Amino acid sequence: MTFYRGRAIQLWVLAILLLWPYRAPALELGLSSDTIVRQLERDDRDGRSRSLLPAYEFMRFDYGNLRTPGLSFHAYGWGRVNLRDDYANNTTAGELLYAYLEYLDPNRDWQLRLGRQYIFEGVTRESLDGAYVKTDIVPTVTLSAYAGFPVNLEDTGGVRGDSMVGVRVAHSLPGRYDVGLSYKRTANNGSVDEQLLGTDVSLLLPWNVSVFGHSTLNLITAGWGEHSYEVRIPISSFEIRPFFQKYRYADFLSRNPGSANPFRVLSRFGDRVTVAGSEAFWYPAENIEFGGRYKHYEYDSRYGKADMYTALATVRRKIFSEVGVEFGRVEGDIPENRYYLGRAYVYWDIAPFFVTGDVMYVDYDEDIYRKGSAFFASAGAGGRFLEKALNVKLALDYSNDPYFDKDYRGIISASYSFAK
Amino acid sequence: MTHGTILRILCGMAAFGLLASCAGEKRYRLPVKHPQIYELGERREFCTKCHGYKKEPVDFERYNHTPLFTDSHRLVAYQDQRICALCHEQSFCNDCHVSRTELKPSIKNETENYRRMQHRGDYLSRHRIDGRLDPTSCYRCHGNPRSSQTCQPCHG
Repeated sequence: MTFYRGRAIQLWVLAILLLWPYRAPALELGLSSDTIVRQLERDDRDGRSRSLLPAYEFMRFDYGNLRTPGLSFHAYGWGRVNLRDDYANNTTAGELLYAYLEYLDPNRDWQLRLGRQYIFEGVTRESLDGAYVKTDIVPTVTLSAYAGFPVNLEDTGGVRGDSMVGVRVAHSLPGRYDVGLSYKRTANNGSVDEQLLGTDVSLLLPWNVSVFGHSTLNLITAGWGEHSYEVRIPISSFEIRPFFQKYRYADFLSRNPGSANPFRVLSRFGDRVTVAGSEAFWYPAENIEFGGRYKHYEYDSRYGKADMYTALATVRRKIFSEVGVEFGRVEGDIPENRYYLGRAYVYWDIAPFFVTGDVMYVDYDEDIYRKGSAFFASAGAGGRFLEKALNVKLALDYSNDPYFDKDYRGIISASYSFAK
Repeated sequence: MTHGTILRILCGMAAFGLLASCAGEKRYRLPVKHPQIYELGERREFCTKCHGYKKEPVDFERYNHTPLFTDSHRLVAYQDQRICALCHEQSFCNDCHVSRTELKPSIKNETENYRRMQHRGDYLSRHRIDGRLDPTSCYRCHGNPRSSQTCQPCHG
């Protein structure tokens, strides 16, 4: 299992010591546990059928000022043990996903987080062991910065020489625009692994038309990796969202040793991909929605053109009871890159119980492993008990597809939440 | 681009922001948490249902959870993750945005079929095609060394 490294333990000790003497009027405690047991069968390379029964535990812990400014501590992680034959060639596995101390200023002018955390900030979506600070230094300017060790690189030659720093400066005039500039630099074993500069923007135009987008410049390759922009045009109960995206593999995908092989290979091609299309939504009534999306892909050097179509409809009864259908078509340049997809699902709430059903059928234009289609079905049921604090859920899945013949799987899970 | 240039750009941006702020814009701070949606009764995940379509101090319309919100929420999340954090703990986001986990989101939340999570059903076969046509969408979640462990047993 991967949990703490030596230096991190000191940080957590400091965090707890800081928390201990803290005197605040409303310290809260939150505990959340998801216990999931899967049952499935798999054949190993020798043709022997193995009956697998992995049990997972996802646990979250929150303590301190959870709904008011002040100090709080948050932790979340998962673990797995095998109750029957060995699964994934490991008897156990697990990971601490975050554990950080957070302080929010009483005036909510600034916040500080220390520890393992996930950073969503401009060009950054990374797990970090370190410090993060965000402040609204003046009413319309937000500054955020972070520094520490990238969790994702700790296995590629140890943590020595690993580092990640980043900053984002944003200016916003509410009701008019938000514009941000962000920078991220990651080092692995002492050499620069990634260096990105990004911009993000949202702009409100007349008639409630909005523009959103971001661009990312790869400072190592000195090329633009991504441009993604979208316009949102509301027209009564309709909304249309045309978008435009442009990628250059050499600047967007990583060619570093830790990256998966397909990304390393594609990054060397230097292909440019342009994606254009639109999403559209229609809400004829409060409980009915229709959605659709069309994406058109054009490649500079590899493959011809490709199109992806999605259409879906949903009818709801109250917030969670819902019936939906979806249809999709992927149409690449050759039959190998084409399929139809159909899906229907139901989630019906009969408090305190619920039942679920889900079927999906995919028809491939060209066989995959001598199969031309895939079928998936899932049936589930559950109940909420102890004033909704305890949810017990059961699901049975069946699939028959190019990779699995008549595959049956079962999942039973218990989710428990405690708050005081 | 040199580090000095980057620093100058960031400083210039900050200075511009400070100057623009001298106009004396009113001050607004987000609350720490949004009440649990269950506490509000039977209401859908459309922020505008309660907050309306006013654009100030927060344009909540952009956060409406449309049927395709899972696919496109990055555009608004990049700009202010604090809005997401009003309702969602980081653990919620970690179902997908994570350094490493073994359960794909649609299996961890098998009965929550209304969430239209990625990779539901027979994705192993479909990913051959989606990955060829649009590898950038794979890369967003599987691009770093730990999260790419999902890909490496077959792809290296």
